[in-house]
Amino acid sequence: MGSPLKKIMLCSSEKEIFSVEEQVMVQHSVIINNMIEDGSYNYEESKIPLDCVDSKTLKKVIDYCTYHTHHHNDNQEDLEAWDAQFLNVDSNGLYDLLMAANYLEIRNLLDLIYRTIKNMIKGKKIDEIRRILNIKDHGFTPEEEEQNRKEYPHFY
Amino acid sequence: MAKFQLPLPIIPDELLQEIFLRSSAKAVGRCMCLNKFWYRQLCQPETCIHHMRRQKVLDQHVLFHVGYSLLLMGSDSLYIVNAASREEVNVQHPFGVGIHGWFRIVGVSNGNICFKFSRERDDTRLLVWNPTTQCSREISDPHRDHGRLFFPVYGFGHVPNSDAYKVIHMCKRDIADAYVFFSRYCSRRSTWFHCVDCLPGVEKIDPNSVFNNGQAYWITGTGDSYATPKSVLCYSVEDESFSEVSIPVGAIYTVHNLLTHKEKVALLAHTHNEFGYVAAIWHLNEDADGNRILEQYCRFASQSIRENPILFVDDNLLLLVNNSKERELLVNYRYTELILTEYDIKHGTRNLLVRRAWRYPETPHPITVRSTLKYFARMFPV
Repeated sequence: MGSPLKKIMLCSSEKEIFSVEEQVMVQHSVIINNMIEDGSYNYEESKIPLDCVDSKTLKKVIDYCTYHTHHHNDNQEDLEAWDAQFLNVDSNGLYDLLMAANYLEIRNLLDLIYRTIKNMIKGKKIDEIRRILNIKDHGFTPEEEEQNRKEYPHFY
Repeated sequence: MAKFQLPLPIIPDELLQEIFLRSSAKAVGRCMCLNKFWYRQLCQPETCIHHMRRQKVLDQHVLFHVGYSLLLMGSDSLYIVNAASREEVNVQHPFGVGIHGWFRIVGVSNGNICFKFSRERDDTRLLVWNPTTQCSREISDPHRDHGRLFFPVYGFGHVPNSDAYKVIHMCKRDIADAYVFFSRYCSRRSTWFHCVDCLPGVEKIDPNSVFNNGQAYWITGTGDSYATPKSVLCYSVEDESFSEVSIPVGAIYTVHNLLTHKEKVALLAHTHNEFGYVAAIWHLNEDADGNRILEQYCRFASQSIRENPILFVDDNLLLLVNNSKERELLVNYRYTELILTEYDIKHGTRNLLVRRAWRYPETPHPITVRSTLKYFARMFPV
């Protein structure tokens, strides 16, 4: 692991460069940690290209990692409040964050987003969950759908 | 919490699966009807088991006793006890045995319970019941006539990573020889398979059996009236073969029980000696050469000799303790009080979970059940 003040360069899909403290990303992202530990990263020249993460999302992700690195000693409630504020994005934003967190393997952020989506589908009826998860074609024949409705009426 | 405009963009299946694995069984069960893909995916036992592991549900829910409750006098009942919340739930009985009948639990696996029961004296049957879906299957017992003479033992368990289960039955052909009748019932084929096997050295078999990962285990004892435990007899369903692991001298206590904990099989032994009540747990391990041996895992001071193990909950051992008429519990299954305690091996503490009094001592056995919840509805069909 490098010294805490070393910076690394991340390059978004729009080729915008973000300079982040190495410690912040290494601590949170498994992928970046692996890259740095490989030794293939050159602090003077290298940029880490993140082609499937756009600038807006990358900025949010960096915000998240930075905050959680510097505030990990804060009490749980404050962190949760910050997380809730952090996830105050539109649904596309949430989706982008999910994909970015998955790509960079940021466990905490993934957990947070999973939890959020989990809470969205909790206690909902099938039709509502289909709407939330954007499942338009359920692939059941009308008879099967009828059968399901009959067998598990409380789901619908 | 932030409000999102709906619907969300389409989330890849593997990420959705992660979300489902974190959701409650109830929520996931509902997701089964989302579409064809999830219907197939969530019906697979692997997914269910994965989810149960993740949620630790397998270890949390204990259906643990059968009997006449003091409050519901005269009605036989089953109870599910949630080890986490200590809540007791009375569940509907799958059969009525009436005043001349009896029943006992053969075994429990993946939330299905196998009963042996009789409405009249000699008319014994087997029944596999899923308490969550309330489905059951009655299985004829081809060897019920052996009951009196040949000390039959039964085992029940699921075949690993599948929803098929097996009921196995074995009994000695004669006190004097080493032949055993062995039969197993396979739920996939709905038939019994029989064979007679010569197992030299096997004299007595203890009815206490466990079924784990496709292997069945019994304790065998010497043929004399002491029935000193001699070995752990293993039967592998996959290879259809028997093997024996001898019990080391240090493990020969007064009372022995077999139990399983996750992947492990353990022998729990109790005794009373100059140090008071002592219990020891021996794990069935493999040594460097791949031979199976019993190794002592821990030894602790116990409160009574009649502590019948229920199961491990994570690293805690749940024990069923009987404080009164101790000697009679094991022999006749009589008791007037039932106490469920949790023994924490690490800290050496115990917590009282449930205390229950019984009016009639001749009530059926306390049982050991690992119950799943109402899982994805097609889970472990009977």
